[in-house]
Amino acid sequence: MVNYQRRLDRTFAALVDPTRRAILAQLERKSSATVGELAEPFAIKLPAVMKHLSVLIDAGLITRTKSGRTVTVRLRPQPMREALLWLRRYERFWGASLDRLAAYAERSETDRHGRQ
Amino acid sequence: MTSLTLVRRIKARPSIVFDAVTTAQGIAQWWGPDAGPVLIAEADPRKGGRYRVRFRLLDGSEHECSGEYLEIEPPDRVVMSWRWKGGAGRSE
Repeated sequence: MVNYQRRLDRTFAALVDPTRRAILAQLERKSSATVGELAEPFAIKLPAVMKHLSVLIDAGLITRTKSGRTVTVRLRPQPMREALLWLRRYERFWGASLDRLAAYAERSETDRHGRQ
Repeated sequence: MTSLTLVRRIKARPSIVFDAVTTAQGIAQWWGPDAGPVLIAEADPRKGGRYRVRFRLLDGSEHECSGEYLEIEPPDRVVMSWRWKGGAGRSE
């Protein structure tokens, strides 16, 4: 449970930054990319990009493989799936509960009108 | 804070909906995502007051949530904090 919470914390903390989301979006379009390719569209220096990549790696959102001098980065979507399930739990609970609230309130309104 | 918005239009007077959300008798009638029963419903609907709801789903599992009324303006508005028992985290 603690690990699960910590994983969620890391996932959401990683996703809060627009540059990191843009990196993930790039990786979604192509199956893998080198660090240089990932850095290209951004007006920030390579060390800053590396820092973002290391946050994404810690969160388990990307993996990195090194072959010779080339570092290749790939998307790892599992943590996002977990975060999505967490969000859906609220949506499901409140979605269905609010339907039941609406049905109950409308029934009460009709009953009260009937009595008056 | 990240937000999630769910909207329902209800054909009932605001006071009826407000009572359904903020009284123990009201909560017991609808709380929970399926037709399983509400086992405990407690509500102290004033600013700083608390509520607690325990319910059973049709699959037999029981869940409990509780929280605090942060803002309350009958019959139009209620803001409450929310926490699952056994889970960390808090939302409003």
